[in-house]
This record gives sequence, structure tokens and C-alpha cells, in this order.
Amino acid sequence: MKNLPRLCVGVLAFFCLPLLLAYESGGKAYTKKLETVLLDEPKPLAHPAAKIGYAIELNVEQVNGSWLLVSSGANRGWVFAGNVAEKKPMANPKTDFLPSAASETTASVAARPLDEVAQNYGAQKGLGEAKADVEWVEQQSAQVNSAAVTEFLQAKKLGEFQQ
Amino acid sequence: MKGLRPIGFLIALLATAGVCPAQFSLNGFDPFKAAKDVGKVIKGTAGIGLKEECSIGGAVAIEIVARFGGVWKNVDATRRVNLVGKSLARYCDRPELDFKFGILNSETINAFSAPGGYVFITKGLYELVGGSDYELAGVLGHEITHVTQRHALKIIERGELLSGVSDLAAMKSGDFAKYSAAVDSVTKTLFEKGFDPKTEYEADKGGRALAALTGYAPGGLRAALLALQNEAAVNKNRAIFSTHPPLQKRIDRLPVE
Repeated sequence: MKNLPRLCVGVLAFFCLPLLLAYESGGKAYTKKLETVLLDEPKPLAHPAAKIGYAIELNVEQVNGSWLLVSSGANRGWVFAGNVAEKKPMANPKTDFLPSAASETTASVAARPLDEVAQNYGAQKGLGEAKADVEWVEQQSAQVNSAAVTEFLQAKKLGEFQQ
Repeated sequence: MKGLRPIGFLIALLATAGVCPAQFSLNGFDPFKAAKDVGKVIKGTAGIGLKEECSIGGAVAIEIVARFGGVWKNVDATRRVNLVGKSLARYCDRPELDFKFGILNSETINAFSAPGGYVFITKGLYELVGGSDYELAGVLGHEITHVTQRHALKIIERGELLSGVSDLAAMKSGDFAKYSAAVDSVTKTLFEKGFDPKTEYEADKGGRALAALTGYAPGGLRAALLALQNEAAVNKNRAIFSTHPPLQKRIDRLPVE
């Protein structure tokens, strides 16, 4: 009984999600991460079937809940809908992405801290205290690294770990 | 924006020909460097780059924190907001951004985001919806959508050459006038005018979809807005989302689920 509300929310989310997703069989999707892994099955821990680079157009062959069976050339496999985009992304893959190793570390330093100009802005406006507070937020935020988020998603059965 | 391209082209042409605006004719003028910088002005007219976005976002974040009583330094609450927020951000349409989530030490009820990925909610809002992950996800999803849809940057971009000039003038020579103007244009919107209702509804829609995609029940934002409406009925003097469209209008536009 204790888990009943959580179960209800899960069931509700499962049935509502297809209504929110714009993907349909025969449609298109785009990779939005530097590397997107396609899987053999629509399960987060399934065997990788292919790896695809950034901003690649994918053909959506089948929709299964929040998972999509997609293909691009010879590459074919399942991907969680949250790992692709409806529109072609516009970032510069060479300069805009953070090194993945940095986001996996346990360092308490922000991957993209306040830059020198923003820091000078704070100093010139007499907002040194606020600047220090923003840096505190950056430090706290950096502690919640990619591994911690994955652990959270698994524990809460969110993202590709939804059941 | 399209109409500005000829201006950028003209500046580039002048720079290439050595007939440069005053700021480039100082001692130590380097035509190659100037041409590169002019390229940035042109880029600015077409859209603000990630480096400039993060820089301006950092300054906006400082202003937000300064205006709302600083940051509430509760490590556990801040970690929780970051876990929920970064879970949503993982599936947003701009995974290249490094999102950071903080809680403002203010009893008012509001939330803000700044370009580059800074998201803040007030302590008052956290205490009202923070007990429920899915309501919190609805609120954070709304703010994340403002960032991914570049709502604040569009305000600067509408200010014509500001973005590119801010890069040249502020980052290189230390003249903060243009940079400050860009930051002011965002903070004025955030603190005084608010985004136009259409932009807010777009953020509601996007936030709801992002929360649902992440696995949260899609009704979280609506539930959070209803909780705020109840709070407003009880505490009539409390400032609640003062820079957003009326709560009832936002609630009406979100499906009952």
C-alpha cells in the first residue's frame, strides 16, 4: 500500500508519455549528444548495437512507449526518446560540449565556472557577495555529477530506467 | 536578424580595407585580430555563441542572487534540487549546457533562469512544492525550457548588434558598457516586465513535456501552480510569480491529468 501512490504516478506517466512524444513510425529524429548508443533491445542495459555521432538524422521505425527503434544507414537499434531530439540540434560539436571525463569526476569545481568577464561584472557592480554565492551554487552543483544523476535515475526509476 | 547581415558585411569590408571604426584604430591595431573580432560581430547578429551566452548568463545569475537575498546555503536541499534538475537536463534539447541549480534565500515565490544554464527557485517556492519531486520537476522543467529555447538571449538578439559588440568591447578592452546593457536587457525582463505570456506558456508546455519524458507524472507543473494558487488565496500579500502571467490562465492551459 505504501508504494501505491508511486505506482499510480508511474502508470499515469506510462500512459501519458506517448501522448506527449511527437515521434511516430515513419518520422524523423536527430541525435543530440556527441555519441548516441543504439541498443539491441528497448532496455537501458541492453547490448549496444551501434554508436552514432552528433546531429545525425534517424528514421523512426517503431515506437514502444518511450523507446524508439531507429536506423541511419547500416546502423539500427533502440534508443530512449530522451536521448534524441525532434529538431536538428545547432551546437558546435567541436567546441560546445564538455569533455565527458570531466562530467564524470567527483571534483567540486564547476565544469563551466563564472568566466572572467562575469566575475569582473560582479566586482564592478559591487556584487562580490552575490558572486561568491553563485560560486557556492556552482560547487554544490558540480558535486552532482553525471554518475550521481545516473544513480538517482536508477533509484527513482526515471529516464531510460522507467519500467 | 536577417536584415542586419548587410551591416555585418559592411563592417567586415571596412575592417578588411583598413577603414575601421574608431575602436579598431587604437595603438597596436592588428588587422587580422580585428577581422577575427568582426567575424564575432557578424556571428552575434546571427545568434549569440555559447561562450558569450555563458558569460552573460553568469552576470545575470549574480544579479538574480543579489536581488533575492543571496543563496540559501542548505546543502541537502540544494543537492536535491540539483538531482531533480540535472535529471531533467540530461534529456533536454541542449545537452551541451552545464546546468546549475540553486535556491534563493527569499520567502517570495518565484523562479528564474539565466542563459548558459543557471536555474534558481526561491526558498518560498521550494518549501511549497519541494516536498514532491514531480511538482519540483514541473517547476524546474519550465525554467530549463526558458534556457534551452534561448528566451532570454532572444531579448538581447532583438537589441541588434549588442551581442557581438559586447564580446568585442567587454571581453577585449574591459569596457563594460555594452556588456552591461546586454545583462540589463535580460534582468529588466526577468525582474520587471517578465517574458510575454506566449513565451511563458511555451515554457509551461516544454517543461511539462520534459518532466514527462524524464518519467515524472506530467501533471506536476499544474499541481505546483494549483498549490501556489491556494497559497495566494491564504496569504494575499505574498508575492507569487509576480513576473509571470496570472496563475489561473496558466493552469487553464495545462491539461488536467
